Amino acid sequence: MSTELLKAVAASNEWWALGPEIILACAALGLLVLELVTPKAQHRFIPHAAGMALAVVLAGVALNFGKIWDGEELFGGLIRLSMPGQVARVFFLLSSLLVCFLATVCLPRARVPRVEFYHLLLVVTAALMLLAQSNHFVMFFVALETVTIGFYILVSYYRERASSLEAGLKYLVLGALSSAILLFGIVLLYGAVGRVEAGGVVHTGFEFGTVLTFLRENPGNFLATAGALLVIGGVAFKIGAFPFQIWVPDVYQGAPTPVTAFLAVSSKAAGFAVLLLLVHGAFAPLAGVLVPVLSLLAAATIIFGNLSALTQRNTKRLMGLSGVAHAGYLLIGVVASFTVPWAAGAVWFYLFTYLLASMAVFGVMAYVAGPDDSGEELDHYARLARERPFLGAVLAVGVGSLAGIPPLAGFMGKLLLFVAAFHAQLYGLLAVAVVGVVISIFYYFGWIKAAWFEIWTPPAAGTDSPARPLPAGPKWVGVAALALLTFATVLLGFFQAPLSGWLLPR
Amino acid sequence: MNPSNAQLLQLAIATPLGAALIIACGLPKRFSTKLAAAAFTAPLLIALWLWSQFPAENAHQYAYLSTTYTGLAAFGISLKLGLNGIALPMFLLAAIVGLAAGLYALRSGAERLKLYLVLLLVMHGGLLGVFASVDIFFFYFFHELALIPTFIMVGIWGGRDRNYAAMKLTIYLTAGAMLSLLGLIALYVKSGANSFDLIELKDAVAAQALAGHTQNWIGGLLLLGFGTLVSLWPLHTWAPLGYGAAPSSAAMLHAGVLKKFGLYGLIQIAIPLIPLGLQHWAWKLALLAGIGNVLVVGFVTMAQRDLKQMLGYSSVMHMGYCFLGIAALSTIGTGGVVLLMVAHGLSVALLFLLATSIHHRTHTFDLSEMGGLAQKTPVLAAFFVAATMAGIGLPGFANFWGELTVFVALWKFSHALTAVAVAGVIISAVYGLRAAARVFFGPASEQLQRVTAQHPPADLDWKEKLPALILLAALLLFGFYPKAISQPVDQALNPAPVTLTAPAR
Amino acid sequence: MSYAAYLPFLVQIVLAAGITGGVILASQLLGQRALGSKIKDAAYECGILSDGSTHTRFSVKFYVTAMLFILFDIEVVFLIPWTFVYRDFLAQNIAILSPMLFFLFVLVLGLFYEVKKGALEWEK
Repeated sequence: MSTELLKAVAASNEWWALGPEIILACAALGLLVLELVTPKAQHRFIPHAAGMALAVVLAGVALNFGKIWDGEELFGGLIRLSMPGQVARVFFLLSSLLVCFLATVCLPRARVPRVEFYHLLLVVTAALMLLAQSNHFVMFFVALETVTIGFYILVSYYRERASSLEAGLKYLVLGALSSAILLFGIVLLYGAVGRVEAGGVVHTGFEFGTVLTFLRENPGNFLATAGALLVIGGVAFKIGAFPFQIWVPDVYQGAPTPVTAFLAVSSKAAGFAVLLLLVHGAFAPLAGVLVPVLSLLAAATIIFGNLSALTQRNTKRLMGLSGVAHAGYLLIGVVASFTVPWAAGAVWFYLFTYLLASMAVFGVMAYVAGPDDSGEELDHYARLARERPFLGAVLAVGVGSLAGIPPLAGFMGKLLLFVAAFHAQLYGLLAVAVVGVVISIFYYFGWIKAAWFEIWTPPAAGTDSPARPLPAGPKWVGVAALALLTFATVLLGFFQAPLSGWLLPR
Repeated sequence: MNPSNAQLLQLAIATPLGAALIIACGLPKRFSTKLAAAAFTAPLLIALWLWSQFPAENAHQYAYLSTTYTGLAAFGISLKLGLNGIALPMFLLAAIVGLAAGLYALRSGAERLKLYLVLLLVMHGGLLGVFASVDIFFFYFFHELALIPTFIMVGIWGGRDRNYAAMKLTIYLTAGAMLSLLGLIALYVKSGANSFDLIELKDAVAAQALAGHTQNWIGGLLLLGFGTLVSLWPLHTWAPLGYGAAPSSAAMLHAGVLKKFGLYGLIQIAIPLIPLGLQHWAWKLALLAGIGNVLVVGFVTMAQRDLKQMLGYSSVMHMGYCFLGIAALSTIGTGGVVLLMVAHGLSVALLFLLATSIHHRTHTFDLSEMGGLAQKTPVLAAFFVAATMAGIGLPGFANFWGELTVFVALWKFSHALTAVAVAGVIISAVYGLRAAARVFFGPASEQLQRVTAQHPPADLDWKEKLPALILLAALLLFGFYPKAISQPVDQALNPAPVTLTAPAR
Repeated sequence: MSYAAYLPFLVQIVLAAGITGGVILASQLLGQRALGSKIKDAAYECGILSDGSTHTRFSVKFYVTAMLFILFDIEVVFLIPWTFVYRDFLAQNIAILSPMLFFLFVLVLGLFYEVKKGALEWEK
C-alpha cells in the first residue's frame, strides 16, 4: 500500500468524532487506576465514578446530538457517522447507566471483585457504540467480539456459583459458534467481492459500500447471498431470534441480574442496530431474499418465545423467553422497514420503551431477589404489593408496558410497529403478532397476579418456619431511579413527543 | 363552540384521572375519600351543563372540539375531544353511572379502599374519555385505560373464582381489543386519510368510499373484536363469570358503561365508514344475536340460581337487542340502540348495586336460599322491583322506548327475528319477576332465618339510597321524556334540516 | 460464474481424503493386529508400565502467565513494523507517535495492574 493512500486515510482520522467512545475507554482504565491508588475503604466510590462517567458522556452526546455530518466516513471508511448511530449511542449509554445502578444494588451481596465489573461495563459500552457506527466488516467484527468477550466474563461473574459458571460456559460455546458463522459469512462476502480498483484506490469486500455496489451489480451471486445470510445468522444470535435463541433461558437465568438486564436490553438492541445498518446499507439489494427469510424468522421467533415463556415460573427465564418474543415483534418492524422507511424509527421507539420497562422490572427483580439472590421464582412475589407497594406498582407498570397494555409506553411501541406492518401489507405477520400478544398477556398477567392478588395457600406441612420474608425496599437512589423509569413509561404512553420528534418523521 | 366549554370537556376527563394520581401519590385516607367524591361528582355536573348547552340543530357535527398535540401528529394521532349527538347521551350515561358507582364504592368500606378508589377513578376517567374522543385511536386508548382497572379490581376484591375470572376476563377482552385495534388500524391505512381523526376519516370516505371487499374484511375484524367486547354469542362466556366475581362498583361501570364501547364503536365508526361491510355481515350478526344472545342466553338466564350470575347473563341477553338494532341498518334502529344502551346501562348498574346490597343482608347470592326480604327492607324491595321492571322494558322506563324502536326497525328487516326478540321480552319478564319474587316475597329459607336472626337486616341507608336514587331518577326521566336523548341522536343520524318521525315521541 | 476456479479445491479435497483413507486402509490390510492384547495396546513407556491419568491438572497460574505472555507478545507484532515505517510516516506528516504512545501506555497500565493484583506472584 502506498504511503499516499495511508496519508489520505490518516487525513480522515477525526478523533473528536469518537470522543464519547474514547472517553469511556479512558474512564474504564481510570477505574483500574483508581482502585490501585486509593485505599480499600474508598473503593465504594468507584461504582459512582463509573456512573458519573456514563452520565457525563450521555449528556455530552445528547447536547451534541445534531452536530455531526450525517453520512461522514472516518478513519478510512472504518466508521460512518449517522443519525441512527447517534440514537444508538444514546440508547447504549442510557442502558449502561441503568445497568450500573442495578450493579450497585446486586454486586455488594456477592463476594466478588467489584471494580472490574464497571471496567468491563464501560469497555463493552464503548464497543457497542462503535459497533452501531461501523462501516467496515473488520471494524464490525472487532467491535462485536469486544462486546461478546466482555459478556463472556460478565455472565460468569459470580465465579463461586455453579449456575453463573454454567451460563458463562454455555454462552461461550454458543457465542463462539455464532462468531464462527458470522466470520464465515464475512469471508464469503470478501471472497465473492474480491478486490475492486476504482480511481487508483483498492476496495475490498470488507467495506460496506463495496459490498453494496457489488450486490447491486451482481444480483444473483450465490456466494455473496450465502455470506450475507450467514452474517444475518450471526446477528440473529445476538438478538435471540429463532433458531439462534437456544442459549437465552439458561444464560439469562445464570447470569447476575445486572448482566441479564444488560444482555436483554443492550445486546438485543445492538443486534437490531446492526441489522438495520446492514439491511439498509450493504445488503439492501438482497431485499428479495432477506424479506422472506426475516419474515419467517420473525414469525417463528414470536411463536417460540411466547409459547416457551408460557409455563415459566422463574422470572429471569420469563424475561429471557418473553424477550425472544419481543425480538420477533421488532423483526416485523425490520421487515416493514424495507417498504416503509420510518419503520426503522419505530423499531428504535420500541427499543426505548423496552429499555425503560425492562430496566424497571429488572430493578424490582434485583430487590426482590434478596440478600442471597435466591428470590427469582414467581412465588417469591406473593404479597409484594401489600408489603412493598412501591415495588409492586413499579412491577405492574413495567410488566404492563412489556405486555403492551395501554396507556403505557410499550403499547405505543407495538402500535407503531403494527401500523408500519399494515402499511407494508404484512398481514400474515400481523396475525402472528396479535396471537403472540394475546398469549403473552397470560404470562405477564400471571406475574402481576403473583404480586398483586392474594392467593390463599395452605401453610407448608411439616415446616414451622414462616414464609420467606420480603427483602428490604430500595433506598432513595433506587426509589428515584425506579420512579423515574415508571414515570417515563407512563408519560410516553400519553405523550410521545419526547421520543417521536426525534425518532420518527414529524 | 364556546372555547370554555371545550375546556370543560377536557376538565371532565382530567378530573378523575388527576384525582387518581394525587391519591396514588400518598394522600391521607380521609382527604382521599373527599377528593374522590368530588372527582366523581364534577364530571356529572359538567356533563349536565354541556348537555344543556348542546346545539341540538347541529347534532351531527361535533361540538366542544379541542385538539391536543401528543407527539404523533405525523401519524394522524392527536388527542381530539368533542361530542356529537350520539356521543352526548353516552357521555352523560358514563357520568351518571360513574357517580353512582363511586358513591357506592365510598360507602363499601372495602379493604385497601384507597387503591380501590384510584382504580375506579382511572376507570371513570377512561370511560368519559371513550365517549368524548373524536380520534379513534384515543377512543381505543381510553377504553383500555378503563379496562385494565377492571382486571385488577376483579383479581383483588373479586368474589368466588376471582383468579380464574380475572384471567379469563383479561384474555378474552385483550383478544377482542387487539382485533378491534387491528380493524381500526386497517381503517386508518385503507381509507387513505392517514389520520385517526374520525372527522377526517369520514371526509376521506365521503370523497372515495372503500372497496367492497375491503369493507367486508374490516367489518369482519371490527365485528369480531367489538363482538367479543360486547359479549356477542358465542364469545360471551367471560361476561357472567366476570360479573359474578367482580366487586359491585366495577361491575356497575363495566356492565353499565364500558361494555357499550363496542356498540358505540359500531354506530359511531363502522356505520358511517363501512356501511357495505356491515351490510355484508348483517344477517350473520342478526342470527347470532337473535338466536344466540336473545334465545339461548335467555333460557340460560332462566336457569340461573345465583342472583349475580343471572344479572350477568341477562346483560348478555340484552346486548342481543342492541346487535339486532344495529343489524337492522336503519336510522330508527340505530337511534333505538343508543336509547337502549343508555337505558340498559342505567338499569343494569342499578341491579348490580342492589344485588350487592341484598348480599350484605342475606350473605348469599343463591336465589333458592332467599325469601321474604320485603317485610324487613321495603325500600330495597321497591328499588329492586322497579329496576327489574325497567330491565324488562315496561313503559315508564327508558328501556321501553329503546326496545320499542329497535323492534320497529327490526320488523322491516325480518319478521321472524322480531318475533324472536319479542319472545325475549317474555323470557326476561319470567326470570326478572321470578328473581324479585324469590328474593323479596314468599317464605324465608331456614338458613336465611338463621342469618337474619344474627344480623337483623336494616333497610337501605342514605349512602346506599343516594346512588340508587340517582340511577332510578335518570331511568324515569328518560322514560317519561325520551326526547332528551332521542332528539340529539335523531339529529345526529338525520342531518336533514327537517326531522323524520322521531323514533320515540 | 465459472466453477473452474474451484478445481484446485476439489483436487485438494480428493487428495486429502485419498491419502488419509489409503493409509488407514493399508494399515488395516498390511498391519499385524494385536487382537485383544492389553500390553500391546498400551502406550509405550520405555518398558515401564504406564501409571496415572493422562489428564493432569495444571495450576491456574500457568494459564495466567501464558495469557500475559501472549498479550505482550502481540505488542511486539505491532511495535516492530512501527519502527520500520516510523521515518516514512513522519516524512508524510502522518501522526504516528502519539497513537503508539497511547497503546504503550495502556499496556504499561495493564502491567502495573497485574503486579498490584498479584498475578505475577508465583508463591502465594
